[in-house]
Parts: sequence; C-alpha cells; structure tokens
Amino acid sequence: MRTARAPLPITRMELTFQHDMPGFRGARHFAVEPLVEGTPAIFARLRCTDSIHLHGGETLNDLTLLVMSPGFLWHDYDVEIGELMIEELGLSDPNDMALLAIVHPQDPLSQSTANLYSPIVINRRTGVADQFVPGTSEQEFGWPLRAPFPHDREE
Amino acid sequence: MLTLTREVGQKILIGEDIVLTVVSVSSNGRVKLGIEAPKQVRIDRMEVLDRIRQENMDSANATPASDVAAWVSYGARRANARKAKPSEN
Repeated sequence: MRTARAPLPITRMELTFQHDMPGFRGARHFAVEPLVEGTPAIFARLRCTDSIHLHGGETLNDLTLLVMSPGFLWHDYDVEIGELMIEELGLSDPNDMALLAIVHPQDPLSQSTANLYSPIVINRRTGVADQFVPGTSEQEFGWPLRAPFPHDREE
Repeated sequence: MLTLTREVGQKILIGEDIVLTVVSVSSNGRVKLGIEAPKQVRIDRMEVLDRIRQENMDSANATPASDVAAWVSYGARRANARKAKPSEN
C-alpha cells in the first residue's frame, strides 16, 4: 500500500498503538500535539499517556518525542506496508493512511535527523497506529534510520 | 536458552502452530530458516528491532523540552519552501 499524496500538516490526534513502541514497554496510547496549540504544522509533539517500563525494569514518567510529517522534507518518501499491518490498522482505504517520522533533534537544529526507516503508520480516521518495522536492512529498504534534514537554502 | 541440534530439512514446533524449518546451511555459515506461523504473529529480525529500539530511546533523550519556537519557525519555513514549488505537488 502506498501514500502518494501531498503531505498533510499534523493536527491534534489521539493514537492507540497495537503493539508497544519499540524500546518502551507499555507505550500504547499517545497524544499528537502541534507545537503551537491549534496550529497544524510539519512538526508536532508525540506524548505517551501510559506509564512505561524500560527494558531494565525502570519506570519512565514522561515520554515525549518530536515527530514530523516526512513528506514536507522528503517529497518522494513512501513506505509499503504488509498485509498484516494493513489488517491490524484497518487500512483497507489507502486514503486513511498517514505517516509520522520520529525526529532525533540535534544542535544546531538543521543537523537533526529523522527516522525514515521505521515510521509511525496511522489510520487517520480511527487513530489506530503502530511503528513500522521493515523486514529488510536500511540499504535494501532505501530509507535510513537517521536521515539528515535536506539542506535549507536560507541557512 | 534451549539449544537443539537439527539437520537440513528438520523442523521444530513452537507452541501449537509455529513451525521452524532449517532450509539450508551454507559453507560461510549462513543458515536459512523457514517459518510457518499464524499471520497475526509478528516476525522481526532481532537486530533490526534492536536498532529501532535504541534510536527511539536516543531520540526521546535528545528531545528538547523547550526551544519550541525554533522548531516552529523552521517548520513554517520548510512548509512555505514546499508551497513555493507547486510543480512538485
């Protein structure tokens, strides 16, 4: 399944993952919050509303990630998800599918990277979501785990 | 960890309905496994999942609590840059 559409700015959303987000045991419920309340944009906060256990057994009280709508920076970005994921997320209509990439922020900001290897796949209609785990290596898949932000002409 | 010795073509049954088959073993040490499992069972390469797990944790640790304004203006600039090139739509 493909999402060959113009990218959408990120709006406020509640997400329910079908599986724990990798690395965070118990992380299933998330709020997507635009950085400026009420203003859809490229970047947003992804805040987990569950209490989470790290793999060492330690509890994490706050899990917040910076996410982005990847199509704004990588115009040909797309992933092909498998049948199991299509079924689990109820994505029989491709128009319901949206992608978020987790940002790895750096200082300066233009040195940040985004995880294009393993995006979060969302059913926009229902909020059902999951992080995509490719069955192939980064080289075979074609999109890296740490994709550098494309050059910004104004910098 | 349970360790079993198997030959090419031999199988292992895990639980009720997961069957592992040793398909081939090459001289350079690569083992090809066949896996039959119900389709709701997720099967991932461990090292792929480990890298994603680590990157998720690193990204969470690097996510700034403040500095929102910088991200907002960067995002707005990139969105406008895209709009300025309608041919790529």
